[in-house]
Amino acid sequence: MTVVARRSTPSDDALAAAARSGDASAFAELYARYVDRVYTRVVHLVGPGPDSEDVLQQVFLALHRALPRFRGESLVSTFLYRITVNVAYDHQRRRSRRSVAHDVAALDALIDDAPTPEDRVRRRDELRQIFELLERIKPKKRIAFVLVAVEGLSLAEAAELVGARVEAVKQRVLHARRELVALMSTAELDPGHRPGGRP
Amino acid sequence: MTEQRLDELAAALGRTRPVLDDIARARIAAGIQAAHDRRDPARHRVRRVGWLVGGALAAAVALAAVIGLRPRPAEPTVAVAPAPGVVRLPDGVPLLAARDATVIGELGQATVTLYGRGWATHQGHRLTVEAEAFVVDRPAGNAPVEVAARGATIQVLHATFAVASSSELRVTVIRGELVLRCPGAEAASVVTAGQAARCEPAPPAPASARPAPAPPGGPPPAPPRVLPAPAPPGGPPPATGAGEPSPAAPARRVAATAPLAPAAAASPARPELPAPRPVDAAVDAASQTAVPTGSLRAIAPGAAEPGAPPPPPAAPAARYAEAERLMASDADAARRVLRALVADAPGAPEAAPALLDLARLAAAGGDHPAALAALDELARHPGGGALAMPAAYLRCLVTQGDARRRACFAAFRAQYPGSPHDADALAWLAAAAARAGDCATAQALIGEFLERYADAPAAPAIRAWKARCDPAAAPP
Repeated sequence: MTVVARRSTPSDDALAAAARSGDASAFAELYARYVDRVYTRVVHLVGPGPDSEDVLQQVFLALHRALPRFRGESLVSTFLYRITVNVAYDHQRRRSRRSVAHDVAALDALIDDAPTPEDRVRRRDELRQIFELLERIKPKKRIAFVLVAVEGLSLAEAAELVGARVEAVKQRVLHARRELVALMSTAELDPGHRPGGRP
Repeated sequence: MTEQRLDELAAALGRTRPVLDDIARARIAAGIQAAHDRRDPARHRVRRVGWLVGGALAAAVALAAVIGLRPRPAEPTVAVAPAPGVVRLPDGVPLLAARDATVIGELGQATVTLYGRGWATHQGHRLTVEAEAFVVDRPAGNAPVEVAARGATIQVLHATFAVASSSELRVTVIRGELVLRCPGAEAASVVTAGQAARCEPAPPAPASARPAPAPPGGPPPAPPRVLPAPAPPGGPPPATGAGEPSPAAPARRVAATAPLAPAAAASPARPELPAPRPVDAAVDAASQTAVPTGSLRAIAPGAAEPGAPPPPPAAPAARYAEAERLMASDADAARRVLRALVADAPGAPEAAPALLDLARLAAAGGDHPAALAALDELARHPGGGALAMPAAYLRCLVTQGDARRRACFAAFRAQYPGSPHDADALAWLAAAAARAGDCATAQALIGEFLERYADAPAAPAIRAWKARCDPAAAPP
């Protein structure tokens, strides 16, 4: 029988405290612990491709800068995800004036459970469609929609991450849904219209 | 109906599990490490620069009072100590850097980083830089900036580029694109993100032709040449004084090297990047000298004329990109390029990823001893720390013998519990336990797998083992 020996892993708080005092290995451990989860959230929020890696790096650089201000009033993970949302928001605001094309390879890399090539193509089209739709709504609404409708957070959890009241987040999600449905209806009425194109 | 479709699309996005490539993971970690190393200077940058400038001014006034000199207000100089800092400089005020110093200055709408001895100054949108190596970042602005350096002119709207320390002008574009006009060249060249270009060296010019970098604390350098107004965005580059053919200097050619590694060769529309990662990597890469690979792509006709001197050595970044390209078609050639890169530029940022790729190539070819040797070399490499996780995983894959491999994967999971390879390692352990008839262990591992990775590609196979715990079951 194989004995899976697990080290006693330090808590997030302990790592954050060590990183705050300049322990680079503690920060590296935090990075290793959260990079995949943050990356998933970043891709959901800003889309796949090189932008998402840049945002990911900015998130951890921002965490590095912000750790001295972290007083343990929330979980480290919540603190990190809040930073993630803020960095993603800034990124979307900066790029809001240009359209983003999602290439096939970047979308394909997100699909790992398509049993047949046809399924893969269908999944890829779905992803392209949702990313193109999300590009068309304002960053605040997009973030609220992704957190609640895509990632399944409660309104309260999403509100904590975006730093807004629950009611405000609820309104953003509702508005986002309304706008996305309208965009989809327009695309259905006019098949030549691409949701990612300019209005 | 549309609402339902929207929910389906949202669910499709929610099902995605993006996987960060190991190299990207390590590159980002290295960028963060670099930021960590520079943290203290960066945190106190503004305050420090304030003190530095104030101290320098106070010292200058005191010195002037002592020796009876008066500073010349028309040519103010900001001398900066060899510590990172940002100085915002008005028109005509030079940014100076001492030998071995790194100095950052905001000149107009561009940020200039000088590495080593040199100076930079600007008049409006025209910059003149003379330094051992430097980086210019122009993130925003509506009018192009024109940079005069080593006799060439570089026109840039939104881009980041690095110029390496070498006798020739070698420009590496990190983000965006620029127009490079070499001295004496008839045409300008467009160089885009991920590419490097150089102006081939001319015969030695008179000493007066190229101003020497000003020594720290020395007299201010000669005022920059006045360059004509830049062309509008997207228009052709202007004929500049620096770019006009000179009877004293024969025409030089522009040659572009292979693109940078994919990580650096991003879309020109990438957002503003944090400074340390791409800038340092590009400067390091562009500063390296290495043997030519013979695979560089020349964009200027005649760049590889018979009898011409051999092309200058390729930067490690270009060689690594070349190896990446070769890996898809010619593993042996890729291996040779990677091995040469490691041998010639062991300190380059690409050396550690090259070692990991050498191990991967050897593993893919079934040469497990060679893979282990490359992994051992990587473990000893100073830059190998960021790649420790994928290296450990690969080491398990090439470990021979079920018992040793099980121990390896178990240790890997203990050391890297959140790694992206955890699902595969766990699936392998479950399969190995089932194959060995150790159903109790297999069931425990299968339970853990299904709890944590229910949507993973291997989940159906794992579920089948759960039902039967078949010792003859094949591994995923």
